[in-house]
Amino acid sequence: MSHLVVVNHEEQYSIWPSGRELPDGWRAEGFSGDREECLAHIERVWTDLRPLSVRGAGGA
Amino acid sequence: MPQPETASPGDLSAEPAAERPLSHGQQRLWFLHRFDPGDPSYNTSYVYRLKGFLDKGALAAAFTAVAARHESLRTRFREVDGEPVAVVDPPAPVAVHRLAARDEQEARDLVASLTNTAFDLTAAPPFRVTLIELGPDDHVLCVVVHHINSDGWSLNVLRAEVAAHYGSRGAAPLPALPLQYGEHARERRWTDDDLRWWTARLAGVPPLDLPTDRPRPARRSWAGDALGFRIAPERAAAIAALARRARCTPYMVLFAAYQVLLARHTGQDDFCVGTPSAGRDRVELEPMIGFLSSTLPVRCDLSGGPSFTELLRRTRRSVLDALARQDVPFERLVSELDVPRDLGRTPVFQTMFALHTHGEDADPLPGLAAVPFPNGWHPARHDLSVDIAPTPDGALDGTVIYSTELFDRGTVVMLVERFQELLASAIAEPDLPVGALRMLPEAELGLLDAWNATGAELPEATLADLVLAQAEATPGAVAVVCGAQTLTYAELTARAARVAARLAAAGVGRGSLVAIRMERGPDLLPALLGTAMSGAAYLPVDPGYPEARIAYVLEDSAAALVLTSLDDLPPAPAAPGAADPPRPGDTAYVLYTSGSTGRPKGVAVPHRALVNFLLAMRSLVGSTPRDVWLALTSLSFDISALELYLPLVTGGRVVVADAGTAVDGAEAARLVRETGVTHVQATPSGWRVLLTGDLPRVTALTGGEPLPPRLARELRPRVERLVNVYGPTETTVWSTAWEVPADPGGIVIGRPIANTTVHVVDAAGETVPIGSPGELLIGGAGVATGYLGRPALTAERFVPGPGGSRRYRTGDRVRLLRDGTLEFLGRTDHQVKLRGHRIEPGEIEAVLDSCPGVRQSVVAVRGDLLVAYVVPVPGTGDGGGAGAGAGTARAAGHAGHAGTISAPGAGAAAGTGATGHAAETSDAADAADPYRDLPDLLRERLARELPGYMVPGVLTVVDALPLTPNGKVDRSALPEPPAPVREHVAPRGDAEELVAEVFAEVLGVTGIGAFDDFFALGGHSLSAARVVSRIRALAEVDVPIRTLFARSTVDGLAAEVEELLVAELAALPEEEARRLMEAGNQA
Repeated sequence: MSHLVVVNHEEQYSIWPSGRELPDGWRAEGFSGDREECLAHIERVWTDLRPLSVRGAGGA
Repeated sequence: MPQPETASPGDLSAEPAAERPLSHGQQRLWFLHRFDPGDPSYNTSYVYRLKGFLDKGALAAAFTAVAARHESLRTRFREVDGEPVAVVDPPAPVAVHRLAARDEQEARDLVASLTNTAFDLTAAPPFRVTLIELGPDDHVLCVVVHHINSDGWSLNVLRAEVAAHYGSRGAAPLPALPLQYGEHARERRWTDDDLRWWTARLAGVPPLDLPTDRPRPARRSWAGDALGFRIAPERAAAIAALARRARCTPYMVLFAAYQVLLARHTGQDDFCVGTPSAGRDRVELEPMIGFLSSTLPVRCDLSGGPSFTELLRRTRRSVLDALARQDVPFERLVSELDVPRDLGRTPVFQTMFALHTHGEDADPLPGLAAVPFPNGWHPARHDLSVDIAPTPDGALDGTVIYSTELFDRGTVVMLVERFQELLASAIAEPDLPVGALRMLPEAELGLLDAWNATGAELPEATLADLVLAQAEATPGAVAVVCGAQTLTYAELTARAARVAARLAAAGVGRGSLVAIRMERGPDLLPALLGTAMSGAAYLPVDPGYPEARIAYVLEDSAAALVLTSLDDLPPAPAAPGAADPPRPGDTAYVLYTSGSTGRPKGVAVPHRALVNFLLAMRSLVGSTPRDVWLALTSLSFDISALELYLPLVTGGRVVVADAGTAVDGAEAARLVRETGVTHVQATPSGWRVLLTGDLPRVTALTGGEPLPPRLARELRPRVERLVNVYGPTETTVWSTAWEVPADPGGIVIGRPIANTTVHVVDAAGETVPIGSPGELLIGGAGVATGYLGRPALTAERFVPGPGGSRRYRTGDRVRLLRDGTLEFLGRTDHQVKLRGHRIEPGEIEAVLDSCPGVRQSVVAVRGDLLVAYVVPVPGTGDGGGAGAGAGTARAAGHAGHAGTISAPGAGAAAGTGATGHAAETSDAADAADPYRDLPDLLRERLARELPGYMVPGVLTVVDALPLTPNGKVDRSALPEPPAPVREHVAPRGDAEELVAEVFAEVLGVTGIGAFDDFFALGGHSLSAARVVSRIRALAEVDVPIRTLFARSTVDGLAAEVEELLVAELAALPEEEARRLMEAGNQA
């Protein structure tokens, strides 16, 4: 099944089956592919796992 | 029941009774009748309320005339040498039994007792006509015929012919019948190709595993109840319209929706549903009364997420394919398919679905106003049967008959509501994937929301904020007790502040990670709190862990500093720099967990999640300044956070136990008593240790692994309160909690704690119905930040929820019960599939744990073998125990009884690994081993309570189970089981020789050994009847056919035969018994 890479307001990433309605607060990041491809993409682009609000404050 | 008043059988005709062979269908029903003579589930009936003048003589004459025409109404059965024969009695007057009822309710009760009473098929033709008088011109006519001689179509023929004869007192000019049933029964109307098609079609079909309210009994019975429902005319019309558009029938639309219902309750996309077919595809069969209908097992394929329209196409195809080969007898199929024998389920399919289009006759007796009357019949032939029939007003009337052994009425009510919802959504959006069709009614969704309404106030604070606030409020109160040392709140926070300053001097602050590798002692809490106050996160490293693991964790986490003692830190600077305290989103701790696969990974838990957890537990466990918690758990197990911090945020105190105390029940109990501990948390394995000591009544928390019911019952009376808690590290310690009641029945993990939501979803992520198993997702304030340095793994396990939130996929299988509590079922990755059966080892463990003599058990799969590891209760295994007397000549180490045993090793400490010696059983070992009978006893118990495929092939007694450092059972470290020994042993003793001889004769095989299994050798239900008959002939003992099913090996059945003989002997007068025994000895 094909998946989307999705991201929320805290710039946290996840994956979502394409064709299913995405929960509010999440948007498609642009990348899609099979599950493994999506996860590999996330492994490359999600470099800071801290939520955006924590990163801004310089914390952990 | 009163004797009939009218038409008593008078002058019998001289015509002798004729004998006929049985059709395949009749043979199956005969077998079921022999299996359980009290089973009324194959009664068929019609019932009408009749108003107007009723000519009773004409009624009796009409039934007599119809019975004279149709052999089936005059057919009874008997057995000759184990083979059933149909005996057709000559025509005789039919008795119309007369009853009276005061009101409609009484009439209903009478009818129900008639339709739910089993016939004796040997005594008389199973055909009963009863007239219940409600008033002079008000009657209820109830006609019951056993299915072995009838079917739905037959009842229509019977009703129509009775109507025709009623006006003419049995002299209606009906056309002669072209064929009688007995002639038809002999015909074979199918080819070997047809049979091969079916066996290919049905090969390997798994049983339908509907979620039940109660555990499935090892032997099902017909106990059932009925629930009516109605599909409104508008919806029925829409179903017909969809059927027309899809070029199929309304039956197929209803049937497809039923398949979706089943698939989405079980998570299965492959199963069978039985559907009836009339079996009257030839003109000469149309006017016949007799069992011609058959049940077609339709294999349902919902794989690949089809749309409803696509499912309709598949359904149309599979129904038409099945109908084209409907003459292959179902019983031939069953024996050909070699389905695993399971007395808890009906073979091949476990549910029926039928749409009856012929409907009721409007005029069953001319001249009387007739309305159908409820037949009150409700025995369950299957787990669940749905019968639907159109009504005159264009609606559809449905009846669900369900097994009351499995289901509560409320569960079936909800099932029907979901069926209605599915029909509506399938009609509205037939092109949606069936998994996405709306199925849960508004009310059910509302209930799920209400159970998740856990919102509570959550202050913007960190752990340090909470403890500092408490220290300000009660600076002089004792906060920490460790051995002889105590710390007040003021001392604790002052020490922690110094640690924070020294950490800062070492360059540690927000964003850093400090590995704490300290023994449990007075410095531990200052170190932890000081780290928190510095803004850094801590990483607990248990000094007892293997070096390799410690090295891996330190490297993987890239910790800035490893603290083995406070001496590692530089001195506090004279003038500390400006503090940068942590924020609620900052990481409080990182905890490494091992998954079932892959390397350990670090879970980063933010302060906000930890604070929410502590405040939630504060309101749940009611912690006050008077509370004293025992800190017992290894720091590397996240549940230690509760013991260490909850007392400090409520003004209570924490008693830090050293590592030695934690594993010594007596020592821990002494510490609890001496330090006035009020709250203790442990894993079930830990509680077993604690219970060995003299523990005062404390508030007890148990979690970290499933709570065995027996431990719950043992623990509950010894503590003030018992709370069963559940949660993965990824959602911060505990996420659900359940107050264990005084007399716990089923164990659950309860409801979500504050600001926490739980969601049970299927493989596609859709919410499953209440009661259905699925994966547990947890959302809310406890959700961790993710896995340190593992973006892909984090993205995979933390999935989108509404409002930009994330939910953690636990990998745990659970289900929501109707009271809103969660039941834990196991790990999704522990569930195993063996020979088509989905098996949850936890279910088997639960039964084992409830057996006397068992302290703990683990069930695992090795290859294609189910293996049980059992730790006995010490001192319960002495050889003189139950069972030793009965089986004097029994060895334990053979197939089917493959018990392996081990001498209990002295002093084997929990946690050092399983030390099962697992020696193959020999006589020498028998003599030395006090637990030698345990595997056999357990196997017998398991066989009584579980279906055969769930009884482990190997039962191994071990001294202890291997534990992980966190005190949970380490499944990966279980020892290899010994191979089951399958050896040939010649029958021993008269009884085994007798049984082996009978098996050989019936099955036509030679060389049968003592442990050979009747069914494994090719026996089936019909040959089983012959075994019973042969044993009766040879040994004059009546073995119930069920016994053969329960104990189908030579030695097993022989033991039963012996027991029956002994019982018979005991019933004889002493003198005669002695004479018989002496005669036997001389022979």
